[in-house]
Amino acid sequence: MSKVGGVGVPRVEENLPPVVLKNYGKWDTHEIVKPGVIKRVSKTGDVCHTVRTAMPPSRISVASMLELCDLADKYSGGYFRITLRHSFEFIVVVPKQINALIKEVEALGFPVGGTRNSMHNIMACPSWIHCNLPATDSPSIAKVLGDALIKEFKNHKLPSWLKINIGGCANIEEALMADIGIIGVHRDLPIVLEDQIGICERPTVIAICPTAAIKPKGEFSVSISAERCIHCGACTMHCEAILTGDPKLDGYAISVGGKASNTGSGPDLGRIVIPYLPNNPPKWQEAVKAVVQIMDAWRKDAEPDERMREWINRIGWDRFFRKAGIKVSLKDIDGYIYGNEFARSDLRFGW
Amino acid sequence: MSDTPYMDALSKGPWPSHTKELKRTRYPIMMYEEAMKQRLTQWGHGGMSSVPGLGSGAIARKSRRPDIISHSHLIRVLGNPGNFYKTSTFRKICEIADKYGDGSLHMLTTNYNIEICGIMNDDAMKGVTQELNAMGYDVGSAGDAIRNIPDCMGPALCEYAMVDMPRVKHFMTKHYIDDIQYPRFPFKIKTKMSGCPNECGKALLHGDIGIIGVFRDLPKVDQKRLNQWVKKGGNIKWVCDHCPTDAMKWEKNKLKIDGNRCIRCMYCINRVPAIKSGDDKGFAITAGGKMKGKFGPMKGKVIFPFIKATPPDYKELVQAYDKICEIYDEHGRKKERIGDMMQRLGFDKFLEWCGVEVSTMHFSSPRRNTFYHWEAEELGGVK
Ligand code: HEM
Ligand code: HEM
Ligand code: SF4
Ligand code: SF4
Ligand code: SF4
Ligand code: SF4
Repeated sequence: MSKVGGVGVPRVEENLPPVVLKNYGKWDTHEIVKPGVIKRVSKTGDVCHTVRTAMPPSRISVASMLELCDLADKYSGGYFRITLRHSFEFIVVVPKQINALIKEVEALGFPVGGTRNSMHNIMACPSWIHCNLPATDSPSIAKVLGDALIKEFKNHKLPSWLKINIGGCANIEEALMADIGIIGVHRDLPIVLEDQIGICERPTVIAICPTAAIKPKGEFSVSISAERCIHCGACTMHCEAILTGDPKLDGYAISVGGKASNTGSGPDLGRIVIPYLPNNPPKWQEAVKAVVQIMDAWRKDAEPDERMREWINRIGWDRFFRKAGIKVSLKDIDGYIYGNEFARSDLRFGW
Repeated sequence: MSDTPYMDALSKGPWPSHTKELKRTRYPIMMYEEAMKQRLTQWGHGGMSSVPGLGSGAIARKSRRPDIISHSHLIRVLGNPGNFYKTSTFRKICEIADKYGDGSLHMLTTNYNIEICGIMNDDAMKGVTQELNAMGYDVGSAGDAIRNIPDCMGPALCEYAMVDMPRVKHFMTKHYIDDIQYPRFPFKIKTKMSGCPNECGKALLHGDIGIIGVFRDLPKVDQKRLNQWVKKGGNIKWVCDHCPTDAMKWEKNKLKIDGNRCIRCMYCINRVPAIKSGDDKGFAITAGGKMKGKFGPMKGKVIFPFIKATPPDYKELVQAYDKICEIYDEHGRKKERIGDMMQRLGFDKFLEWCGVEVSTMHFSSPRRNTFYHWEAEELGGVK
């Protein structure tokens, strides 16, 4: 059988508007004209206006993408870009037509915003739409949070930018990298399908468990120890005969303070401050309340230009929990392998 | 009464709605509605669907609800350099998605692929791949392979870029296409790239291997332009006060950056148009960033603090990248991510195998225990 594929990706030049290609590597400054609209200025004097919109979490229809393409044809010479936060961006829009574009694209249901000191586009994994592992549903949480925070998306009134990422389970690579993250949490033991467990090799699933919770049982099956299991999901991911446990016990945790950029205190992963909230579709009121509570505490107290993490670093975790109104429990103490590093070894308390 | 009350509730409101989108496609909406009703996914185990000749392209997904749908596969299209798209080609991708799939797309995945969803059989998967190939696009990024290698927009549209990431992406994808399409590693390798330490690509945190543009000399200050900026209301004092290392001194209309303090964090460069990065630019390579796996979420660690960016063959980059992959291939255990392997083997061992000359750039502080390993030759033959 001949191999298909192997062609790689198109050259970047093939997909750049002429102005962008001409000024490749020559961009000098940029300014935010208004929320969602960025003007880039080149050393050659050329300018490039971009207009950014929110996108539906996780899935979009071909029909909607084609409608966005129509607008890109009409307003940005047939070019667009998907940002690293999955926003849709029209590139090289004629300044005089920006307002007309905003009107049209918002009428289609894609609000414009998500630049500078606003809430940026929300990132979410597919979860219940197309995954077997989720403990919660990222897309619908993203949707209700977007609805609740639409004002923050469309203006620049936050102290700095606010990035929210949501993942349906501990697999998510993005949640801990955002200012506020939501991560699905399983609390029940995984279920072993006794009649099917023989379909693959037991050693793999036994070796994969980080806490050695999985032991051989009889000749063909395995058992999972409730004392040892930390609900990491590794077994359910790799073994077809192990399913996630009771959905009534599933929910999600909330993290704060993830940050990738090297400014300020540098890059760091977020820390989990709320261990569990229950799944409650379609309103997800607990998630909205928690996020708004954390955001408001930050907004009230942060200095201009201060990301969530820099704010927390300045005031300390003592005051963060107090100001955000979050109750501390034993679940906040890390008992896992790195736990001791996060325990306190100083007396610099923030009473 | 509607039979999708949950989806209907999520179709209202100002934020773009995924349920509204799903209803515009042939996605089996009862799978999602039922999931919300039962608070449990209706999908079953996933894996690779093996289509002769297709390598790692297709992700198979079984269903727990054969009464609604039996299964639904998807194909990942490698995202474009800089994620720039042209409507004329993108319309063709839409056409393919509509013809072979259920008409829904994932724009984009966390690894910046476009997913064409709802593909039902091998022929359709081959069809998607062949039509994409014909227009210069490719599939892959699944299984225990090198995944798509996403980049930031780099110099195409960003003034901060220190290396040409969209072209590096094109190069890396071509160079490693076999390893992207044919899984051969212990587990997946996610590579992430950012053009500068602002890290829009979250390469250090996110990448099993991270490739990030850096500079070594000091930020360059155009004093004349700076004074003009200050005259127009630019707040240089604010920027000086917020330099994390207090490296900036603004005196007598002149800005001095102290080389004994500056850590090249990008803050002043981001805030002041008259301050640009230095000229001694290259890549930093990190390894081991991830969420999942034995030791939990980890940040990546610096392996190669600085290597030269040398197009067109990026020799040093390829050497460094190959080295990390080789060590992983040889020493990684099945389903063990690079970060977990580094933790298990010891970071010192890993650096030794990488053949890097160890420097202060490799640690945030030296160690605080004396539990060394000594080799016989280090003991001067005493042993
Ligand atoms: C009908 C025959 C076979 C089937 C269906 C089969 C299937 C599998 C499966 C499903 C896995 C596990 C992969 C995973 O966990 O993701 C596996 C792993 C493996 N198989 Fe097979 N296999 C077969 C025959 C063989 C034979 C004949 C050998 C050796 C002579 C073999 C050697 C291995 C090895 C070494 C592994 C890797 C185990 C590990 O690293 O954990 N298999 N096989
Ligand atoms: C009917 C025959 C077979 C089937 C259906 C089968 C199926 C599979 C599957 C599904 C996997 C898992 C791939 C993954 O990790 O995602 C696997 C892995 C593997 N199989 Fe097989 N297999 C067959 C025969 C064999 C034979 C004959 C051998 C060796 C002589 C073998 C050796 C292995 C090894 C070494 C792996 C692990 C590869 C890796 O994870 O890197 N298999 N097989
Ligand atoms: S983060 Fe978890 S729930 Fe979400 S798509 Fe990935 S594996 Fe599935
Ligand atoms: S969920 Fe994780 S800890 Fe629990 S049994 Fe499975 S692999 Fe082990
Ligand atoms: S990582 Fe740096 S170069 Fe790339 S887009 Fe962000 S700021 Fe620009
Ligand atoms: S790059 Fe960062 S550390 Fe260096 S002078 Fe500028 S703000 Fe200060």
